[in-house]
Amino acid sequence: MSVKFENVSFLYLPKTPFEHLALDGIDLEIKDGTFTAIIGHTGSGKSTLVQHINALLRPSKGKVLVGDYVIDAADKKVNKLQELRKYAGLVFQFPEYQLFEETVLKDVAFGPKNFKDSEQVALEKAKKALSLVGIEESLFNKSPFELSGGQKRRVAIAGIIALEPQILVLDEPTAGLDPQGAKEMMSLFKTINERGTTVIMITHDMDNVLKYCDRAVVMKDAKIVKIEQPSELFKDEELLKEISLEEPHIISFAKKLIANGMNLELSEIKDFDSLIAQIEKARSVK
Amino acid sequence: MKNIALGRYVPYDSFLHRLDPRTKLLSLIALMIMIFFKFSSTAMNFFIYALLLIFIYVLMRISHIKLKTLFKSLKAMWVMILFLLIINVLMPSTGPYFDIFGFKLYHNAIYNTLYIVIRLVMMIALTMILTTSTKPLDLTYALEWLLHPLKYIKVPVHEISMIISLALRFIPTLLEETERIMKAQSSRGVDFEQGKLKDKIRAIVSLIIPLFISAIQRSEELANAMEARGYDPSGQRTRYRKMQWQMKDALSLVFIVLLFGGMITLLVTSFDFFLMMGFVL
Repeated sequence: MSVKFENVSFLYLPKTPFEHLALDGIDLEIKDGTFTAIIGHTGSGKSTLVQHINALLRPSKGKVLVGDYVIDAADKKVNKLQELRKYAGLVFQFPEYQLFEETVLKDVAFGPKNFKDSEQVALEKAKKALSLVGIEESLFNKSPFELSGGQKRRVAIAGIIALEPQILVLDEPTAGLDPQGAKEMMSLFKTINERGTTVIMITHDMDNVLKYCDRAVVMKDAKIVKIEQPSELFKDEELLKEISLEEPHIISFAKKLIANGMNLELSEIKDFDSLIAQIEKARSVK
Repeated sequence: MKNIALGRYVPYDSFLHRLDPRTKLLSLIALMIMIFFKFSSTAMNFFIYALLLIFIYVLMRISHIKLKTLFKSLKAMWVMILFLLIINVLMPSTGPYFDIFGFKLYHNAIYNTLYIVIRLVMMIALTMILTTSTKPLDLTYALEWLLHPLKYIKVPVHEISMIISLALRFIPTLLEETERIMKAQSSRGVDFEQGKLKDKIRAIVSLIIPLFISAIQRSEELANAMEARGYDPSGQRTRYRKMQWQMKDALSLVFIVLLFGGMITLLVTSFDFFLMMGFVL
C-alpha cells in the first residue's frame, strides 16, 4: 500500500511537432503515511509526475502502482478509475478556478456526491472539511465567488479533503498566498499527514520542505536526480549548485553563524524553534 | 482535447510558411471563389474539380499536412453528406435517371451531392492549409491590410482586427484552461466520458462556469494591462515586424491570377473540352 513508479516514461503530444519527453524512466516509491516534497525547476516534470498518481495522465511506458490500483501503459483502461480518484485526491495549482457551485457548502459537497455519497453524508463531510481548513460557518451559504482569494483557496482544498483520500497530492498549494495564510495551510497539511494520510506536495518553498517533509524528490529535465531527507539534501552544497536549487533561508542563516564560529549541528535545524534550540545549546557549552 | 486543435498553426519552415500572409489570404479568397464556379457540362465540372483537388493536394504536401489529418476533420461531416444526398434525391429534377422500383433517382441528384461534398472538402482543406502555415497574428495583420480601404467609410478596421487577433490569441489559452479545469473536476469525481445524460449535463456545467469566470477575469485583466500601457485604438501605430512583398509572393499571385483568369475564360466562353471530343456524360 504505497505509491510506486516503475520505469515510467511519458511522451507529451506524441507524433506531433510538439512532442517531447516529459518523464524519462522514473523509478520512485513513496511509503504510506509519509510527507514527501517534489522539488525542481519549472518544466522539470513535477506536475506531470503527480498527475500520474490519480491517472489523469497515463504513462507511455512503465507502470504506476497506487495502493491496490495499477496504471499500466500496456492497458487501455484503468480498472476502478473512480475508486482510484477517491483514494488519491489531487489538488491542482490555483485550485480556486475549479469552484462553480452556488454556495461554498454545495461546492465542497460536490466531490463526495460524485463518489456516490448521499446528500446527507456529503454535506456532513463538507462541513467537516470546511471546519478543518478554517472556514467559518457564516460563510457556508455564501457564493464562493464572493470570498477573498485566500478563502477561495481554502474552500477549493476542502473540496478535495472532503473526499477523505488516503493519499493527498498538492501542486504548489501555497503559491500566491500571504505568508500567514501559507503558514496556516502548511500546518493544516501536517495535521492531515499526522492523521495517517500520505501527503505528496510540489513546492518551490525550500523552508517548507525542510520544516515539514520527511523526504524530498528532486527532479531535473524529466528525471529524478535525488531522493533524500531534506536536512541531508540541503547540506550538500555541490548538489544544490548543480541542480541550481536555493537553500532554505534558515540554513543559510545557520551557515553564516557557523562560519562566524558558532558550533551548530546543521542536520538538527528544521525551523526557527530548532535553530533557537541549537543556538542556546551552543551558548551553554561556552 | 488535442483534436480540437486541428488546423492550428504548426511551425514548419515550408514555402507556404514563408509566403507573405497577405499573399496567402488573397490566394485563399481567389481559390474559394473558383471552387464555386459551375461550368457548361458535368464532365467539365468534374475535370476542373480533379485539377483543383490535385493542386490542393500539392499545397497540402508542401505545408506538411497529412491526408489523415484532413480526413479526421471530415469525420463529423458524414451526417451532413447523408442529409444532403437525401434532400437532393427528393428534389424533382430532369434528365436521365435510374429506375429503382419505380422511384426515379436522377443522375443530377447524385452529381449535385457530389459537387457539394467536393466543394466542402476543398474549402476545409484550403482553410486548413492557411491556418497551419500562418501564425494567427500574421493572419490578422493581413486581414487588417485587406480591410484597410474600408477605413475611408468609417469602418473601425483597427478595432475589428484587434478583436480578432485577441480572440485568436486566446484560443490556445482557453483550450489549456479547459483541459486544466477538466482535470481538476475529474479529480473531484466528475466523469466526462461516460454517464447518463443528467450526469453529463452536470459535468459540463462544472466545466463551463469556471471557464466563463476565468475568461471574464482574464479579459478584465487584459483590458487593464492594455490601458496601463496607454493603448488607444485611434492612435497611429508602427509595427515591430513589417510585412514585406517578395519575389515569391509576386510569382505566387501571378500564378493564382492566371489560374483565376483561365477559369473565368472557360466560364464565359462556355468552353467544353469534352463536347469537342464528342463525349457527353
